[in-house]
Amino acid sequence: MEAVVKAVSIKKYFPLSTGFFSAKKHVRAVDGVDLELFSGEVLALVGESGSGKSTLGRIIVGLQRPDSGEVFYRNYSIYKSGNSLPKDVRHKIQAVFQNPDSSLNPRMQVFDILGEAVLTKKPMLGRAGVLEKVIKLLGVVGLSDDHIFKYPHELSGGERQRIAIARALAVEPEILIADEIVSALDVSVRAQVMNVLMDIIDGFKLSMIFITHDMGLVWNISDRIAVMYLGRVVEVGPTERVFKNPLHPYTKMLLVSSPTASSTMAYKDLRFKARGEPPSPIDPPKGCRFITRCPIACPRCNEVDPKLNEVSENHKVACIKIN
Amino acid sequence: MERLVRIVDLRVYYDLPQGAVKAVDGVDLDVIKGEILGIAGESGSGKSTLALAVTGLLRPPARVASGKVLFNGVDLLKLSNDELRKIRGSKIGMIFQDPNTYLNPLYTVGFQVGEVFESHRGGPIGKYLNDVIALFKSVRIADPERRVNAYPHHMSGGMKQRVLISMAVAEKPELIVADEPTSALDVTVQAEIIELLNEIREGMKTSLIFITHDLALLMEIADRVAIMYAGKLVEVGSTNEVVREPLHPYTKALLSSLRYERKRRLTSIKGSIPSLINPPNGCRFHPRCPYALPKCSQLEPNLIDVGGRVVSCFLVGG
Amino acid sequence: MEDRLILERIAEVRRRRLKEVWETFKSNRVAYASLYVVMIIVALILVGFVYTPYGPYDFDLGNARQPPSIKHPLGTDELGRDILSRLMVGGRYTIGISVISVLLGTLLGSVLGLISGYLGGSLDTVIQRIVDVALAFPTTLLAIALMVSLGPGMTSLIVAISLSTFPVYARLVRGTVLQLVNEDYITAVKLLGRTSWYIMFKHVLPNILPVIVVQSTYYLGFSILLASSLGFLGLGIPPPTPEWGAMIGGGRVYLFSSPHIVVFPGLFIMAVALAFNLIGDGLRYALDPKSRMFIRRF
Ligand SMILES: Nc1ncnc2c1ncn2[C@@H]1O[C@H](COP(=O)(O)OP(=O)(O)O)[C@@H](O)[C@H]1O
Ligand SMILES: Nc1ncnc2c1ncn2[C@@H]1O[C@H](COP(=O)(O)OP(=O)(O)O)[C@@H](O)[C@H]1O
Ligand SMILES: [Mg+2]
Ligand SMILES: [Mg+2]
Repeated sequence: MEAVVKAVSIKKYFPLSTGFFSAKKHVRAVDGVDLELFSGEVLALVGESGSGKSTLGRIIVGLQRPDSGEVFYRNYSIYKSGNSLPKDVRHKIQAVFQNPDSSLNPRMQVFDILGEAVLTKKPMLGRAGVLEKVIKLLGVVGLSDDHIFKYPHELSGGERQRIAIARALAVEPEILIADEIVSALDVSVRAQVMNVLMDIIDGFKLSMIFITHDMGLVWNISDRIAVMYLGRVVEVGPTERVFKNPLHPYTKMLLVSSPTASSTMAYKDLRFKARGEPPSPIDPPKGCRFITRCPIACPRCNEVDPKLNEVSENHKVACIKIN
Repeated sequence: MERLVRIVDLRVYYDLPQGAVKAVDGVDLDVIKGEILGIAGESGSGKSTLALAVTGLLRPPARVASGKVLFNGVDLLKLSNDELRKIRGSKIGMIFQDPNTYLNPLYTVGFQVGEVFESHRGGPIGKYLNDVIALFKSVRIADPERRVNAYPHHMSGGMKQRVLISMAVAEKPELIVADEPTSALDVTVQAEIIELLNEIREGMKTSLIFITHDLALLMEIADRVAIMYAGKLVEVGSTNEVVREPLHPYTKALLSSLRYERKRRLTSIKGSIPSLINPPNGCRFHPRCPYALPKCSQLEPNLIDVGGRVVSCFLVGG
Repeated sequence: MEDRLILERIAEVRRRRLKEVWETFKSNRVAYASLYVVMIIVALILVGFVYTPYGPYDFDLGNARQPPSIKHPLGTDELGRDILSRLMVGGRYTIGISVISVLLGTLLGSVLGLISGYLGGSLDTVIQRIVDVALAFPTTLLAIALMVSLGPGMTSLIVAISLSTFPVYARLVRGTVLQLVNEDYITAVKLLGRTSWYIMFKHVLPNILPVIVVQSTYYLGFSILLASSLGFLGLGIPPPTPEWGAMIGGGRVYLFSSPHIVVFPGLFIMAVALAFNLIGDGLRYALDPKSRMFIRRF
């Protein structure tokens, strides 16, 4: 299969402002990640908060230059060419974010919000043309023409997120990064937005990175899953296989503690019930980063920093106990 | 089955310039001794307001329009602030979503937990150090001797929530009200907190009111669930029965929107929660209900008993 | 619906929103009344350009220090000049100077704040150091120092007042911008491939405009006080120009014997300054009911 996006050895450390005399410290938000997104697939990116999912997402859409590593859109290296991407490449990768309260400009009507996006793609379009496109976009995300007149504060959270999706679609992207876009929504509304996502993946032939902490949604929408822990990908593989037969102890822990995973008949082994919290990403443990919480850790885990290793076709894990 | 709390026809309104927000509008609910009663509903359905009423923490613009909250037979809504303060913290403990609101950043957590003892038993806080350490141990805060001297900002969200839990259980209360205690936490941390709450309930025979918007979570821990919609209860029953056979269309819809199938569209509920200033006439759910009858938009259904379960819907039991 | 109708309705909804702001403002009685106070005084000043009961500079020593009467509704000053006429003419200096200085201060401060906040980097550092220095002096002292070094006169007054107020805007706008640039909708527009300048003027500026407008209203009140204070100290426009502050300064020796010479200009200054502050309150609520603005009040 063909990769539309390829992230290679990405590292991003955020400097921590500390005292004058102490040595400079860094939050290792993303610490050596390789990731591919294949054409037409939905890749779920999961992990506890602080594991670096959003940072990786921002790097992939071109918002944040990594300290080292490269992101390729097809064969185009997006950080090589100075600071701004050519518009046609820029439009190929779009993103929608978590907070419905800040996703839309509060002083613009839906018509202007979507119209602006339409005009970026087709600057010569007249007002009537823009209107036609805007109405079409609203239809795609399941909203009626009436929404065109509204201001963001007149919309519900779910409606705002759907407008944000429509705005991204206006520039005809190939890749969509959805960073926790339904996390702030209630279940009933969440379903509406998830269904819109499902429709547009097929309708627009999108490839998507779906960042979430809800295992139920991962099961529902994704083809593959990548699990992040402390700035690293620790397991990546086809969703069904990982749910039925997770390999990394951290993946197991996530599945066991997630209430929404129970309805999916996922793996459940209480030896891997949750314990502890992730250590600080400022100085993560030597050896395996999961060692402080791992129920099956052995002495060697203290020394060896495990690399992602392919154990079966397309299924990789970073754990020295698996092989 | 002994009742610890009886909520009778409770109505709590927020008086705003635009009108009264009927956040809790005629709720009848009992809490049985030793049970975990889950209250679920979308955000804005009045869950937190109900929690505040039960703990006597309502503040203006909130106003109790009618009803009683009987705790061991005493109406909490009639008590003075002093009497309430005595009950709160000793007989009723509380845990909320955001521990930061309840922890003072200027004092160590140990000091703040010690204050709970001091306020109920008197004496210098220093003499409760060992009690606090024991308490921290019981809520499984690692390294309690050192942690008593930590400030809130040095602790993770999960740890702070444990501190709050320790404050709530310090005086071995009969009732703990937990309002979205894990909603800001990761699932892994949530799982541990839930396990802890369960242990506390078993160990101290405490009743627990557990409020959340996350029905999936509630299904795992609650003995009974009460489903709230737009200020009213629509269904109350034992968790197993409600999950196996939901009766109210809203409960049905909620449960089916939680059924995740591979690459299948999820069941959604059309529309969104109505304004609580001018709620719809008749059944409040009727504008979103797929089974609504003509009379649903005119008459308000009462909560009726259907084999140990109460439901408010014309489609059920007549 | 027909396209044309839809487009018309979009425009109409936009107008209605503006109208709502106006309605909210009007519903605040105090603010609305203050608007009238300002309008009446401005009308008096405008009339002063074409007609005054007496010449503002015509003295009549035989009629000096007359208390209010039918002939001289606000009395006469120490040289027998009609106080009402002088106030009508003097207002153009006091208020005109304030308005122009606030406009200049706002413009300078906002542009610097916008650039500083949005573009960041070394430009931000340079601008903020300048602002730090300027803010280190109390505003009034800074203005006095500037006046002393620039010498009296209208231009120097305007320069002094705007220079001593712009740093506050630069700070305010920068802070507001820094909050805004983290909003997801700004990021989304970046992802569309729009330029920084476009985003700054199309998205950031409209969102900070209410803050700027409200702050300017408060500042109008303040700079009227400042202009008058400088006039009072003799640092403003030299006599005999009837600038309000200078009028008080001229009459201060008669404070006890003929208080009306000082009281009427004082009342005018107070009325306008207070009215602008109250209008500021009204605008603030009308533009941002949740009151999340970080505004400096006086
Ligand atoms: N702009 C930033 N400056 C400093 N630290 C940051 C910044 N963004 C993220 N971080 C830190 O990087 C780590 C990873 O954050 P993030 O990518 O947001 O994780 P996630 O999305 O998985 O919750 C966290 O420890 C966070 O505090
Ligand atoms: N302090 C308050 N002032 C005004 N309205 C409030 C206040 N607190 C809650 N409300 C309103 O009461 C309703 C119920 O809120 P709440 O009890 O917080 O619901 P939930 O906890 O289920 O999300 C909502 O419409 C909310 O806007
Ligand atoms: Mg994130
Ligand atoms: Mg709540």
